[in-house]
Amino acid sequence: MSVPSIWVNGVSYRYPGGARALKDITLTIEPGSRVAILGHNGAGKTTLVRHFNGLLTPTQGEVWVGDFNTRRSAVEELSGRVGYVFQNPDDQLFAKTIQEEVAFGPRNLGYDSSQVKVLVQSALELCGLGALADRHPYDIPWTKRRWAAIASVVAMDTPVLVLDEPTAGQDARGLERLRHLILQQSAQGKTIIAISHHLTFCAENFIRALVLRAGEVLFDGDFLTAFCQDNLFNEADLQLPQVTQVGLKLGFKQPVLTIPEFLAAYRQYLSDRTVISEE
Amino acid sequence: MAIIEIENLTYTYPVENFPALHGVNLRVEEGEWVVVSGENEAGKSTLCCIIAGLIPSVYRGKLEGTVRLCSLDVCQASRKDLIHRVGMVMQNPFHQISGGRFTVAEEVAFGLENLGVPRPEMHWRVNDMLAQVGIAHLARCSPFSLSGGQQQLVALAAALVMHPEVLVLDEPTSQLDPQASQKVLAVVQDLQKQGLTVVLVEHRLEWAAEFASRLVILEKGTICADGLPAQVFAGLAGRASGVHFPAVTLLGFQARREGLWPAGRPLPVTIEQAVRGFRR
Amino acid sequence: MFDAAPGGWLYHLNPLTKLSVSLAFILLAFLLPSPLVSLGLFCLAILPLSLWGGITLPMLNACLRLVAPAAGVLLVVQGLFYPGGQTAALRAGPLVFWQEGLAYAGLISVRLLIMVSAFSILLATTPPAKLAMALQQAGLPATFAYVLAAALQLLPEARQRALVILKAQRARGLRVSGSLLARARAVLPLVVPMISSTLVMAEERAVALELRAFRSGVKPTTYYEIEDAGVERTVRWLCGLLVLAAGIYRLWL
Repeated sequence: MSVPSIWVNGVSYRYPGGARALKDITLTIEPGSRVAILGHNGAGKTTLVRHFNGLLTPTQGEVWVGDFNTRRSAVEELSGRVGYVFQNPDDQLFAKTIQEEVAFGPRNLGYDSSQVKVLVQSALELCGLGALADRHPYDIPWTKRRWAAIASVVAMDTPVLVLDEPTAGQDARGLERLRHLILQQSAQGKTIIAISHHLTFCAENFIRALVLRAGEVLFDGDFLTAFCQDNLFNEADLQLPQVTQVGLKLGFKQPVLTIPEFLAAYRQYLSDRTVISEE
Repeated sequence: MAIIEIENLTYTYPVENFPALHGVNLRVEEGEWVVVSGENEAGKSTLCCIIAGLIPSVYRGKLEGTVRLCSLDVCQASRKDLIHRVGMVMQNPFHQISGGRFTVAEEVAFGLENLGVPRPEMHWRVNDMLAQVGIAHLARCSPFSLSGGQQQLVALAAALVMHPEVLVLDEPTSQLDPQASQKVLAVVQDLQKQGLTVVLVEHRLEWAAEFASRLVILEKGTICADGLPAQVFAGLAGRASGVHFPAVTLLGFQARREGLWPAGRPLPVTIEQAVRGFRR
Repeated sequence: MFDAAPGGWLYHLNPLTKLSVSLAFILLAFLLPSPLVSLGLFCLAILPLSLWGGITLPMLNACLRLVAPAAGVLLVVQGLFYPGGQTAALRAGPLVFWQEGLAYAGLISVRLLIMVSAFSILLATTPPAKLAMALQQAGLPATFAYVLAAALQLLPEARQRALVILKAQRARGLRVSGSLLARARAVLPLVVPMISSTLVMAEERAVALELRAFRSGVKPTTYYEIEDAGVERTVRWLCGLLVLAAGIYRLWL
C-alpha cells in the first residue's frame, strides 16, 4: 500500500448559497501522519475534509491526493484512497446485517471475496462488533451503529482514513476503543485525520493540530507548540485540556499534555520551591 | 419533601426480554442538581424517560415498583398533570423542533398553545423565557435557520416555558461544540439557583462535575454509585465502569498513588480544586 | 423551491386572501374556455401583481422551469396526434401538425401558466406555517394544520438529508452513474437510509410533541393572530363572486 500525500493548494470554497466556507487554504498532509482538525462549529472543518475525497471540489485552487487531482477524479475513484466516516450512522446504514453493511465498501472497491471476508472480520473485531455481526443495524443502539459506520469504512482498508467527530457521544470505553483503533491503523502506516472537539483526546492521540477559524487556518503545527501559544485556543473558542490548564495555573514553565508529563513537571516544581524556600 | 421518589423500580420495554432498569431506588430533593452518568446502554435515557413521566403513558412496557413525581404516581397521573411539572430536553436539537411553526417565538409557545393558554399570558411567558435563555434577538427567526447550539437553546426555552418543577436533560450537549454547550449549561445553572430541580445525563463529567450537587452512576440498569462527585470518583477509581472521569480527578488519583497528593485529601473534581490542592 | 423572505406588502397579507385570489385565478382560467381570457389574466392581473410585490423574477423562473417544457411536449404531441385534427397548420415532410391540436395544446399550456404563476405568488410570499395557521384560525383542526405545516417545512430538510446520504454512500465507493444495472444497485443503499433516518426522526419528534402537550384534548390557542383587514375580506368575497359568475356563465350561457 502506498500512502498518498494530500496537497491543498490555495483552496477557497464558496457554498452554492454564497457563504464562503474556506479562504485560501494551503497545506500538505504527509503520508502516515495523525492530524486533528479543531475549531468552532462553522469554522469549516467538515468542508475542508470533504475536499480530501472529492465530495467537494474547490471554488478556487486545487486539491491533490497523491497524483489524483480531485477536480478531475470521481468520488468513487478516490474512495479507494481516502475513507471517510460521516458523523451520523443513520445516513448510511442500509444492509440487513452488520456484516453485510461492513462488506459493502470493500466490495465496491473490487477486493475479491476472500479478501473481503478477512477485511470485514478484522474491522468488526477492531470496532467491538464481533458478537453483533448478524444483527440488523437498526436492532442495536445508536452508539453501536456509530461503530458499525466506522467499521464499514475501516474495512475498505484505505491508506487515508478521515473521521468526522468520532468522539461525540462516546463513553470512556468507547474512547479507549477509538484510541486503540487510531493507533492500530496508524501503525500500519496509514494517514489518520479526525475532526473533534475533544481536545484532551486529540492531544493524547494526534501529533499535528490544525486549528481553523472562520474558514482560515489559525494554527498548523504540533500540539506542544499549539499549547505554547497563549491566545490560540481562546481565539478558536476551544478549551485547553484540564491537565494543561492546571499546569498553566501552577506556573509550570512548559505546557504539559498528559498526566505523566504533569507529574514530572510537578516534581520539578516542588523541588524548585524547596530550593527557593531554603535560600 | 422529595420531588422525585423512585422505589424498587424495574422496567422492561415492550417486546424486550430483559429489563432496561432494575431495582432502582432514587430520591431527589427539591432544588438538587443530579448528574447521571455511566456507560452507553446502561439505562440512562430510560431513567430520563421515567423521570420525564413518559413511562408508562407514552412508552408502554412493564413497570414494577413505584415512581412518584411531584407527589404524583406516574401510573395514575394523567399526561396533562405531568406535562406541567416535568420538562425534558433531548440530545438532538433538530428533532425537537416541532416543525409546524415559523418563528422561534411560536416554536417556544407551541406547548402553551396546546394547553390552551390565553394569548396575553402566552406572550409574556414566551418573551420572559426567550430573555432568560438569551435568545430574545432570535424571536422572529425561523427555527430552521439556526445553528445546532441555538436550536438547543430554543428546545430549552420550550421546555422551561411550561414552568416545570423538574427539568430532565438527556445528553443535551453531545452534539454541540464546547462554547454552545457551556451556554446551555449556564442557563440551566441560573434556573437551578432559583429553585429548579435538574437531572442531567452527561458523559463528559469534566463539565458536569462542576455543577453537580450529586452524581449517580448507572451500570447495566442499576445504580452502582450515588453521592457527592468526589466520593463517587474515589469509590469507582481503578474500576472499569465506563465512566468518563474528569481529567483532573484522574490526575489526582495518579498523584495520590505516587505520593504527590495526600491520602486524606478528597480527589479534585474541578480545575480550581486541583490547583489549590497541588499548591499546598 | 421558494424561500418566503419577509418584506414586501404581499408578505404581510392574510394567507387566506392570497390563497383565495390564486384559486380564483385558476378557476377562472378553467371555467372560461378562451385561452385569450387566461392570457389576459396573466398579463393584466398576475404579472402586475408580481411586479408590485417585487417577486416577478422567481415567478417567471418557476414558469420557465415547469410550464415551458410541458408546453413544448403538449404542442408536439397534441399537434401531431389530436384525434379531431382536420385543418393542417404545418407540414414537415410526412408529419402534419393539426391546427385544432395546436389550439388545444395552447389552451392547456395557458391554464398551466396561470396555475403555476398564481401559486408561485402565494408560495413566494407565504411561509407554509403561516398558511397553515391562517387555515387553523379559519376553522381547520389544529392537528391537520400542524401536519400540513410540518410536512411543507420539513421537505427542504429531507432534501438536504438525501444529499448527505448520497455523499456518504459515494464515499464508500457506491457508483451512481453508468450502466442500468449499476444504477439499479444504487437504489437500496440510497433509499433505505432515507426511510430509516426518517423513521428515527419521526419517533423522536413524536416524543418531543408529547412533551409539549400536542393533542392534549384542550382546544389550542394560537400565539399570533393573523391580521384580517376588512379590505381583505371584501377581496375574498369578490373572488368568490367572480368565480360564481364565471360558473353561471359557463353553465347557462
